[in-house]
Amino acid sequence: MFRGGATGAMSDGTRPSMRQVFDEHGRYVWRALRHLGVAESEVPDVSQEVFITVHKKLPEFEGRSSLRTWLYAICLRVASDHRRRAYVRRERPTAEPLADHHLSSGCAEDTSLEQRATLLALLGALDPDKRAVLVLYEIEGFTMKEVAEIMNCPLQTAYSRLHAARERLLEALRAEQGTSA
Amino acid sequence: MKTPEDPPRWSDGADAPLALGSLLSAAKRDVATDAELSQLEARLKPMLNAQPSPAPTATPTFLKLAGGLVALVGLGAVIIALRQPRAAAPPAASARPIAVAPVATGSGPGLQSAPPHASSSSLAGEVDSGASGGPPAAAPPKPLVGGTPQAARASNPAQAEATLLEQARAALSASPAQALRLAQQHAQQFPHGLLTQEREVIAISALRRLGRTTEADARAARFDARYPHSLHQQAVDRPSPQ
Repeated sequence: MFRGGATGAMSDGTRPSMRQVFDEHGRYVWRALRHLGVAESEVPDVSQEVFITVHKKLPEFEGRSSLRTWLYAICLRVASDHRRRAYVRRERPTAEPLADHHLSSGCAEDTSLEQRATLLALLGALDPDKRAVLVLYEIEGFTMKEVAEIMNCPLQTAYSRLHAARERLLEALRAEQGTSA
Repeated sequence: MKTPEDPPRWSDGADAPLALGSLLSAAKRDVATDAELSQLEARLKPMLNAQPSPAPTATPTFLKLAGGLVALVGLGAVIIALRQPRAAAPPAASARPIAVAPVATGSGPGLQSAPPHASSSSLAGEVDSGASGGPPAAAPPKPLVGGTPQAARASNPAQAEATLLEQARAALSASPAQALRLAQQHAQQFPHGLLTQEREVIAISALRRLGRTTEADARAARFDARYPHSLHQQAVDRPSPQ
């Protein structure tokens, strides 16, 4: 049975349309990809790839998970594939001049360019799995149970990754402050 | 939403050391801007405006077909490329430097300063010129004789698209000219289609088989520039390394 309500699906149990999925989640998919290590200039392409995948898979979505966790699992896979392709091309996904692009694209609401650049640099110190857990929990607001579901790993593994990610993030921030002091 | 086992979120300001709380909290607000979202919406317009499937259990077949065709076309092109002597060294082809031109990114003029369907339309133009070898106006807009009765009859555009390209792929070995004509037909019938990259892979391979190397090379270069991160990159029939 298709689940609805807060999951992002329709409350009457019907399958959401692509338009509904996009309107409800488009902004957040963009945010997630940015924090999952997709270079800023490539977020539009990768976001497009996510929604093309959603378009293909949506008719098969059976509602065993919430639409949102399903969507973010797609984000994770597409971002991972993107990083792998970038690695094959010997590109460094987050090595682009952040400030230049951010100046042209701007930041949403009151997020400063400096805050964004700082956080992305710190997240760059994490390995992909730990980074994903931290982003899903701290930024995307999933519960740890949902995080484990999206990551397709045991709950305890997700907790361990979050703990390790936080420690590594803190180390990276201390190092950053040490070098800038 | 929050389960009892979950630790306090740093992004909520709870126990966050140093500046991490404010950085993570700011990140939560850092969603796509209206402009960024509009650009993405313009790219996705054909599928966003498509009617949703009426019955999930009854009609996923056409989308499975479309998804399967993506893999089929890519696989077919790889097999074709591997059969050709010049493509005997795929690592060399894949290691070929791929230009990451500004136009290839989301911020490139080809995608963002143009109207919503500019990307697809420009590809349609390429097929016209490449397939006919003459003025685009010479290309017949009507379905080809004996070409795509199934595609022409298909009520669903995605299914018709997939069927047409599957026929083009199937024709590639025996009649690359026919494959090219079908690719051209696809461009005319589906200027904003979902399978433009797959069509280009077929068209490039057909051109190469027809000995139209210069056109194939140019088209492959345009594919690289337009889709530098495409999953079909390795399926593109490349010029042989010198």
